[in-house]
Amino acid sequence: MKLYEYQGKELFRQYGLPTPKGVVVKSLDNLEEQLQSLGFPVVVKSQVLTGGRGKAGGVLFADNVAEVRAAGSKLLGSVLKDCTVDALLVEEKVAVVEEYYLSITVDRASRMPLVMFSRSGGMDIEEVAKTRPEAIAKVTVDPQMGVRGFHCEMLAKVGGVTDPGIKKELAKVVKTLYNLYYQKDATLVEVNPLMLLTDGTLIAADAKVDIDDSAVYRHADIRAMEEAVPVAPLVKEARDTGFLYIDVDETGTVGVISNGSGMIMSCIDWIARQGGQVTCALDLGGGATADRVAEGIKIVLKNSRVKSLLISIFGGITRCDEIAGGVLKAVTENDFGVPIVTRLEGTNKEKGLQILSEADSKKIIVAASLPEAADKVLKAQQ
Amino acid sequence: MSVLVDKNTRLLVQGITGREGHFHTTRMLEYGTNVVAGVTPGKGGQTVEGVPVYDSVAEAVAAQQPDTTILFVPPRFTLDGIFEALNAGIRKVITIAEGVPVRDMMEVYHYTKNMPDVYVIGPNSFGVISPGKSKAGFMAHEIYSPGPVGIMSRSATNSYETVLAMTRRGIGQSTAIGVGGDMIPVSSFAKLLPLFQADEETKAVVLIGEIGGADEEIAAEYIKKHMTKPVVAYIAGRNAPKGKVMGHAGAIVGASGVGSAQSKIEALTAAGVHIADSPNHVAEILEKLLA
Repeated sequence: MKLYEYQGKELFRQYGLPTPKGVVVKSLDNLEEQLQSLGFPVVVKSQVLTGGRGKAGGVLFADNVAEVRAAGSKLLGSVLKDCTVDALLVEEKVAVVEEYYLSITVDRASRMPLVMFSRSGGMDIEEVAKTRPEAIAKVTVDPQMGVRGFHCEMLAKVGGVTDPGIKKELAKVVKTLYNLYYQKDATLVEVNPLMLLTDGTLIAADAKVDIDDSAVYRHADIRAMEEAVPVAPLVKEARDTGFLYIDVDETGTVGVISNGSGMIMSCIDWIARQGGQVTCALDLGGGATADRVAEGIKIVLKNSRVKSLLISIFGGITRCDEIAGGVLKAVTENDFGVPIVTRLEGTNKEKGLQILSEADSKKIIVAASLPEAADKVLKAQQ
Repeated sequence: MSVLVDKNTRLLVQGITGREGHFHTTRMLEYGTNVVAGVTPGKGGQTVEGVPVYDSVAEAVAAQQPDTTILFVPPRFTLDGIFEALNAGIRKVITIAEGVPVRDMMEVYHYTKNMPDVYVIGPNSFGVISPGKSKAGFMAHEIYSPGPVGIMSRSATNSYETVLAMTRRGIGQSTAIGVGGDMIPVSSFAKLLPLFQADEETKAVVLIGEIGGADEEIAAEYIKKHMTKPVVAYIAGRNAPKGKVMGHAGAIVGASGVGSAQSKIEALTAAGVHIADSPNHVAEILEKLLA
């Protein structure tokens, strides 16, 4: 679960990591009152759950309330890289000496948290990674050991921080951020830029925090933040039914329903190989009943880009007769006009095929293998 | 021979009285698996399909000496269940649950990483099956057949697909292992490959990977140095969608390319692995290799 910058900063402050003084603005009414605790100049930042916000024009500067209003009316409600701006974070501008980069993420090879630090923070950090990878210090931390002085020493050394005062500050920030990362079940915390101020202290000018979806249940404060995070309607509808809806490609024309992410990936690969493109996919998980399968089909067909649908099932826990029953139910109860290619394998396959053969609907096409199904689902569009 | 489970396996089922635990205990018994005990706290003294139930793993171990356990418990109890089994001396632990927090599995991984005889399979695994001998998992066992090929897969559906294609061509399996589809599988391909290399019955190994992580690349290093048996790999997700990326950390780590289908295929090819472009193709390649 990705958090907005202002939510991430709430966590930062909870752990004692300083952030610039700021106010969250969701409407421009009573703006003067909303901003009264702030000193000018300020930075007006769009709150969106995507990167590259600054380069896309989502961050503006203002010297007074009128300029904040102007920036706000431009940004609020606008769309930045597919995300609608519903909130702004207005923050006091701070006097900066240097901009650092600091992040913690999972290193999947060593299965450890990976801390990365660079003195070359800011918007061009990815360019630094490509052209001067040695300028980014990387340290993995054994979670049983936790982050220690020597880790921070290595980050400072490779990262090129030599001033003893700044090194001490950096170590403090690294340890604080690590505790937050570990205790809050984050899969990413990123501070870019981490600003060095004229008084030698460090302050988090941005916050990117991603919390492990499987662990949100054990953090009441993060569950409370969940309400503010928008969810696409079909994703939400699928989630409420217990399914996972995935937007694949806006230019695609095929919908895919399957019982596992591995099979979905294989379907996408096969269709791409035959010159087609999947636009969205629905993962039924294991053990879906006919009624729920019918619900799943309805959800996918609400996406108007879907011109034909592939249902590919390899039943272990999932029973093919339930899938077939669901297809039949969906087609009988609705007038979709979209052909459905069904491929069944595994538990109760014969029963499932029997149900489909009795269906007597031109919209239901049966395929015996995945390659055949991929071929038929594309031909059905012609 | 086979690996991890066989005729002599004494299996414990943690969460045996739950809906899934009960159902799959029945299926495993039907297959001939020697399920010796079950555990559900507070339900000690009951039986499930004739299998005695205990309140704790320690009590089950004292009474029935299981050597392997499978956890049919919800994701939030998986960490505790794994530690309880390890604490009671069980060395082979199979975890089914999907949605176990990443940090929990990180803890298990680092707790067990220097224990060479400990295998924690999963989480989000379909289990382990040695066809014709024993199964500890929920896979549709009808599609498997005994034979000379060892299989490891991150995805259940892609491994079923591969096994079916193999069985239709008369190519059987020594053991199939669901490594698990989550971010952190505890026992990785590289930890399991030596078992297949040492197993006399296994003549070839199939590795079914997918995009993300570095386990396929790490396996490639092991294969290059130590495997004398042929390996066939299929990597799913070549055309998978890229999620909206927040932050730069992924791009910095990914600057080396590790994790992409291309990186995995290149690493495996350099290690002499035969690359298949579909589950069916895996079976075609095996047919030639074993001829």
